[in-house]
Amino acid sequence: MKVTRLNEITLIQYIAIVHGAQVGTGIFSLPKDIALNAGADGWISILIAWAVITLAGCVMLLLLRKFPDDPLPSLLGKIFGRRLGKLALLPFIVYFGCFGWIVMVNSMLYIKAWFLPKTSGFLIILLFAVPTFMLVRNGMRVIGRYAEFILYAMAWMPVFLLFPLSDGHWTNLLPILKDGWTPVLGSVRETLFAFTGMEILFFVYPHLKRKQYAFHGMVIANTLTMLLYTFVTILCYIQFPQDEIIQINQPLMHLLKIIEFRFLERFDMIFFALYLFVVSRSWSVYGFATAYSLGRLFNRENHTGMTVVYLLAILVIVFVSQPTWNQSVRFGDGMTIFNEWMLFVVPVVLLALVQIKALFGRRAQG
Amino acid sequence: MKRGLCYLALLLALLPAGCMDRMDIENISLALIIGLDLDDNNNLEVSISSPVFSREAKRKTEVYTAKSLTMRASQDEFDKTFKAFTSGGKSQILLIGKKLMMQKHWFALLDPLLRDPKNSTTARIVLVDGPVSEVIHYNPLDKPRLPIYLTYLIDTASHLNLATRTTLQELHSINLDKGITASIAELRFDDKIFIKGSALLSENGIYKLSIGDEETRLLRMLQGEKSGEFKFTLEHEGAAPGNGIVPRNLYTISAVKYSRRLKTGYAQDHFTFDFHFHIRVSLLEKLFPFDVLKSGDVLEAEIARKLEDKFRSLIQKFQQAKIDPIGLGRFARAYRYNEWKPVENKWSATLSDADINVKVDVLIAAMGSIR
Amino acid sequence: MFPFNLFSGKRRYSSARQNAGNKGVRPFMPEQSEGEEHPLDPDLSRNLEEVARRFPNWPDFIVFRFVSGSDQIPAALLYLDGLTDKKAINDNILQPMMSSQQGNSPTRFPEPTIGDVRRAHNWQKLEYAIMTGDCVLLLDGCAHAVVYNTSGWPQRSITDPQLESSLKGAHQGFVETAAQNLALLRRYLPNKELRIHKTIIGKRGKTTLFILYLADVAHPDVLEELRSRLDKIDVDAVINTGEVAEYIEDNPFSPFPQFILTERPDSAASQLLQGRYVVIVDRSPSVIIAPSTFISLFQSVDDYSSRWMIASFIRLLRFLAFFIALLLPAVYISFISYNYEVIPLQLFLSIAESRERVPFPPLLEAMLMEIMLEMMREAGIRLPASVGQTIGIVGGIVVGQAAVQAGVVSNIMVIVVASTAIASFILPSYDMGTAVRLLRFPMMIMASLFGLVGIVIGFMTILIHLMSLESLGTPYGSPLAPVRWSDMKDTFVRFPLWSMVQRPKSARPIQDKRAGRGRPRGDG
Repeated sequence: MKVTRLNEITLIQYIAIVHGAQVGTGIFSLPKDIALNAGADGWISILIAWAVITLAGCVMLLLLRKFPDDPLPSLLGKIFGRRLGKLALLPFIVYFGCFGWIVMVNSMLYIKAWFLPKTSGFLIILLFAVPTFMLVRNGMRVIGRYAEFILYAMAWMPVFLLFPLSDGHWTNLLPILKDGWTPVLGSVRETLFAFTGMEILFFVYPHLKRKQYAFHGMVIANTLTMLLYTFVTILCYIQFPQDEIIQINQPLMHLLKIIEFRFLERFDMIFFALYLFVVSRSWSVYGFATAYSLGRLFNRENHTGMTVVYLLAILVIVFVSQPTWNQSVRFGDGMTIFNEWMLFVVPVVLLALVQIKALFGRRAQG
Repeated sequence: MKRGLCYLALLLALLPAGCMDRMDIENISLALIIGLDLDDNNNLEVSISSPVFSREAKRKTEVYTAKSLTMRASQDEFDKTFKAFTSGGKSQILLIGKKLMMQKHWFALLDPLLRDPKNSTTARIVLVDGPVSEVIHYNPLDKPRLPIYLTYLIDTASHLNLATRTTLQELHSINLDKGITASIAELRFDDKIFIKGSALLSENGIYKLSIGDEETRLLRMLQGEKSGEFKFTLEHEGAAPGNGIVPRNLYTISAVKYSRRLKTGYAQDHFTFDFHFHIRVSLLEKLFPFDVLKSGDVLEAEIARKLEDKFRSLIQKFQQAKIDPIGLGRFARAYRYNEWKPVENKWSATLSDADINVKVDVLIAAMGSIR
Repeated sequence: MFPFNLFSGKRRYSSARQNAGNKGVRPFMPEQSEGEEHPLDPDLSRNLEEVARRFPNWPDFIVFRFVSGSDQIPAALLYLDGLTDKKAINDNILQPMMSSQQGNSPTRFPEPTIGDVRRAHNWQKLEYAIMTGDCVLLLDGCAHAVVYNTSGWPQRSITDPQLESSLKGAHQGFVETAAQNLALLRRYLPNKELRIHKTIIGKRGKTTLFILYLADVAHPDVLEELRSRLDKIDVDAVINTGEVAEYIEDNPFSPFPQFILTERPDSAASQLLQGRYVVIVDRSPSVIIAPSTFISLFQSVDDYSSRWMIASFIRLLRFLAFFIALLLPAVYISFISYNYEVIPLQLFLSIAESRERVPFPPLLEAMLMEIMLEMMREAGIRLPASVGQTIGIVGGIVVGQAAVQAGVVSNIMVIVVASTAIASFILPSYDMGTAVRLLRFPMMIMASLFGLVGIVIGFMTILIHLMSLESLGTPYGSPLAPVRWSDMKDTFVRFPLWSMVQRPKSARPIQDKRAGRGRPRGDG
């Protein structure tokens, strides 16, 4: 779809989409992943990762500013020319498709573990596919509204995490930086993966109505994600000692399990069921990126058909391969390199190419 | 039109396939109480007490004990006789026999309860001084169902600080945490169920010693637990014991509010811990004449002294038994990390060499309506 | 308009209807272009022959021949008995004409005391005039007929609308005559900016439609869209407003109503002030308010007559009722089939005990009770009031109790179903209430298949659907999606009137200050 007046998004929708793309299912196991490398000081690595990602986002925005109305496919077309642009689009499609897959399959695995162990994964993904199809097909406009709405509607979630605080021990966090900076810096790479989602700017930026606030929006979105992660990590560290937390697969879920009310016993089940709203933001944005790019690859105006193709592909692969936890974790690890390339290398390379082209153009003219 | 048909086909495909996880509520046998014990030949015995929903049944609970190797293996035995599918999703109480708790690695038997995400980890762990089967078969006429009764009993006792309350999750945390050892509630069966106090576990998670209700209160205060009641009955030195039938030198106080300050230090090759308590006390009973208004400070000083003695003897008990239920290791780790790191794996032994001081300041806030 | 063309069930005005009017049936009114006219004959007797030929054997067609005035010119008055106000004809036309002392020439007409006088030069206009209740005067020697507006068909008096009665608001409702409805609305907005467009819809029925709006407030793009959609309607007749709404709505496959249908003039007037369009349909007491939003279906006129705190409380109650009506049976099914761990222990034991005797699985039990309830509700509509109440009590209490005793349903189920029913009655808009009633069933099915996850996915689908739905091209989910904070003053709670200074943005008004300084005042 062209970027018309009718699918413009506001600043808050922009923030909500970027933040939503970043927060997926990683948040549940994040405290354990950090603790494995950095111990109780791991939360500092989140702050460092935030700074790094914000820098990467700045570079990305510098590039995108030169193409204010072009989502990724047309941007590549302008840099590389039509044929080569389509070729260059292919790895991006694979990238976004794989990330959408990761988020969806991880969510499916969580649901299987906590709610429906005997139901086949294929069926659960089919369930997810229905609202995802509706969301992706309607494009950035509805995704923006949905993301914004969920941002407000689920803002109460972090508050509930404060309930077990009185049983916690602040002393678990002290002393700060007890083993020095080395373990903290070592775990930054791991933490960076949790901030994946920034590259969705390639698709979101052109729709933003007031582009002068794009930079501010990106920083705010990143900060929201960082605050959320830090909050959750610190709370988990307060509640569980380090020696235990490295043995728990999903510390956040265990934290939720402790919450008990008189009228509602297993609050974690309700919480996770509602968390599906939050995660659906993430995989739909990736799905949109993939479907839209696929659509442009085959020169279609309307990417509805491609949405069906993408979802069907996921369904078929899930049906055939029946992914397990371990496979999913290994796949995620494999994607880390891809992710780092996308976040750091690609914007720089593209920016450089644009500058070179401009330089040649000027030389040709003058 | 074509799309509509596609959607319809999709929906129809969903319908029969989705019901596999359904477990209707009346078809579940909830294992509300799980009991683990060793019999005379040191075989594992697993007992389950589960409520019965059928109107036609006369008794409201069904109990069964099975011998098996592990907990999960025992589930088959239960399914052979129970009316419905057994499920651990709502376990309230875990009763562990003392014999079992003295075995190394007994906690590993509870692994399935922690591993299955559908299980509840807020079940309270209780040590039974005696055979578990006596407790689990107890079915009095004047009380509600055993699981409900026991849950309320434990929770109330914990609130009154007669016993500590530890859930499965907390025990798992504490066992892994190198800076603290566990304390759980203890009960015994003597025609009725009585709370005995708290049972303290060693570093390895096996049973070490028991403490009574007064000592539990002291332990809670040392841990910094603010909620609940803290009642102490003390002997007044200035009064004679009386004729032996009515004790004329006793008085009872309740700590209404207190603050605990703990300083962690390291001097001369061992750790030092200095506790400083400020306690506001109200007088609950006084069996001898004493003018509290005039000579209140004398009483306050005496209460402070007596409490300090009690704290000291309890701490000595801990140090001799090489356990750390107070959690001093956490403070050592937080404030003296460099000295903690080398000894973190043998903390309890290190603690027995530590220097622990307690100072108490008491203020009588209220004495009641009579002098 | 771009979003209107988006795929998925958005209606393209079906060409199926295109040919319905001309399919081999001889049209009663021949399509006539401007040039072709059948002029009247100056000779009265020949005209009357033509009249007899065109209106053969109509029992209610009256031809009254008389001689007018002192000139004794033969004249004939034609009208349809029943459609005309005979007193007006008598007093205001016949009387003066027959008793007039002035000389009447073919060129000078008597002055009847009727306001609306027109001339008809051809038979088509004459026929139309007669069939819409006007009376036609034919004078000998005159080549045109005079049409007097004497319409006086039977209509009911103005009463409180049944479905939308209010406690403190006006007790007037629209009636079936468009002119009267127009008058009722004009009373609320005697303002030059109130514009009225008239269109006629339906080849046979020829229903008059009035589109009303405030010219300096309502957005012209929306008017364009509305008019183009109305013009595309090509049917024989529209009987009710509901039909018009269905022809012009954005998404006929959505369970949610995209326009408000109201019978209250005060409600319609306040919507006009927000910059929306009102479509009055002749012969139907409901008017269409377009565009509308999801939230406006939760607002009722009483909210603004009561104090704002109590109005806010009731508004919140309505939202709670919406969720209860939609989700309670589904949540109940999912808790007792899939996620029993969430229920506290005591409740669990009592539910399990009561469900133990029921032979049906939860979904079947719930469906049974819900369908019973829907049948009772439908039955209640057709029963006269006195019998209806008794049946309600008998059906509800006795049958429900007996069912529990017999062990066919559990008593918790009865509570759930009763609460759901009560909750769905709280919603002020009938269409929204029925939408929720309908959506309950898919939610129950999802819950019985997948438990809590099914409910979440179902609700997600509904949410996304609402967010992508549009009403005349304006977003239906406003002010929730896209979030418009200034409109939130009248969404979940009602802020005091003095704080609601701006008109809601959802209708895209071009002049958005409704209170305070700096706004155009009144007729300005």
